[in-house]
Amino acid sequence: MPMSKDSESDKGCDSELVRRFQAGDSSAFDALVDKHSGKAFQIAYGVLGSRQDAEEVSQDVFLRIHRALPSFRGDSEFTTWMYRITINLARNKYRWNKSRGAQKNVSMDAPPENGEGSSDGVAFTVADPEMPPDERVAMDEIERNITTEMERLPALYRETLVMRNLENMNYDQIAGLLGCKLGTIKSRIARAREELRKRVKL
Amino acid sequence: MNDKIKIPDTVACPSPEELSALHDGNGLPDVAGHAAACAACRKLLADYGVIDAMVARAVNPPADLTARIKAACRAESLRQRKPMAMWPRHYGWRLAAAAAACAAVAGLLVFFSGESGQRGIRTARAALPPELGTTPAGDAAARVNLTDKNGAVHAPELSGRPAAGASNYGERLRAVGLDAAGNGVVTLPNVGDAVQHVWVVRNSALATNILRRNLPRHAVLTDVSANGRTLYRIVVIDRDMQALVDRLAAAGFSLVSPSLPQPGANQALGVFGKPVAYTVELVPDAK
Repeated sequence: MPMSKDSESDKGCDSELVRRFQAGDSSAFDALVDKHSGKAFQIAYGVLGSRQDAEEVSQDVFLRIHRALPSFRGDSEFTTWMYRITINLARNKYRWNKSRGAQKNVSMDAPPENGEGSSDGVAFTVADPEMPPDERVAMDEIERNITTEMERLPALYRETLVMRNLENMNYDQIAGLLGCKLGTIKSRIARAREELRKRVKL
Repeated sequence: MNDKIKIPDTVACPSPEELSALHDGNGLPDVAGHAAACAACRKLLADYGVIDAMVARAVNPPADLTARIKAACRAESLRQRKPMAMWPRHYGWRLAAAAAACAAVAGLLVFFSGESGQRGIRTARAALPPELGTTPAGDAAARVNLTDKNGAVHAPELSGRPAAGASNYGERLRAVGLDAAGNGVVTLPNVGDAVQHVWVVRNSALATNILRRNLPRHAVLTDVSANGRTLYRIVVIDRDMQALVDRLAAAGFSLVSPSLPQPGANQALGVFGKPVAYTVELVPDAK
């Protein structure tokens, strides 16, 4: 799959940041965190379906990267390396949660069941303010349902759909990261969409 | 004419998998051709668009995530820097000396132990190696008192000196002695001589004021901020550390460093009334 010009320059930028960090410039690591922590969170959320757990995992990912980066040789791209660490840690956490019988971790920061407001910056109003009020209410309702139903989706479906919605992540990349065949990814994404569509009654 | 290109509502529509792939730009030409002419498939594709948009929004990372990650990494590197540098030169013999001292305490107790009349506590008067900073043998103040009549474990404060059978080389080495029943060595986590804590705060200036207001009575604060980092060095007596971190946490500061003392930690700390160099870094969150 040909890479866009942006992706190529991103890769160059990442390797430059890694090189600077290895040369002792700690601000380069901050730049890597600024650039990639959101993606680590999203991937972890895709696997875990819990914002609280995803936050823990994404913090752990960068602690590990911080420890290992001085000896990172650049055999793979930084992003590939980071995604792999994230998936591994998130899956470990998922298995651990499952072994403890935790269906779902409810965070104190999680939005209330009625969806009114959120303390962690998640907007629960997706609707265009220019929309007629009844449509806006309907869209808000759908968004609340999507958030809930995402957590209930099987992890295999959720993680592929979330990865698909990450910037620049195509089927090939998702398949490579998850170690699956392209057809499997295609099928899981379709099933995830269909499940969500039925559950939120679009 | 129109009848020739009209697609039946339910017959021959591509599978959701094919339409989903089409939505992602991986569709086959005949699927695309069908979808262009089929209202049901167009509706499905539009629904997929809505779902994708909402999924993308639902997984928005928290606004303060990057600040918290950076603070945690910084705290870890601060924590690791000192032990890594010291280990080869000092830690080997210090730990060996500490282990030998523990063994010596336990051995000497067989011969020199006595009962504390008031609390029924066995005490240690062993002379430990000078490098462990112990009080002289036979000094009455050197009695190690680790359990009280309520069963709570603590170490006494001894005029700035560590108790016999105890050491104060950071939280790795701990107060040592026998429990009330003389059953074995009791260890207490110990506040180190130098403690570094990174706190995530909403606003550095406001947090500085709160920090100043909550300082213990005899603590001395020095502003050592540099390179855009808000840093304070506080000289504080170890017995006041726990209360200070509890107050900062209660004021909404969020501690990311793992070193003792931790806010609300429900555990006894070995305190000796010694001064501690407490370095506080205030990291504003991104909210």
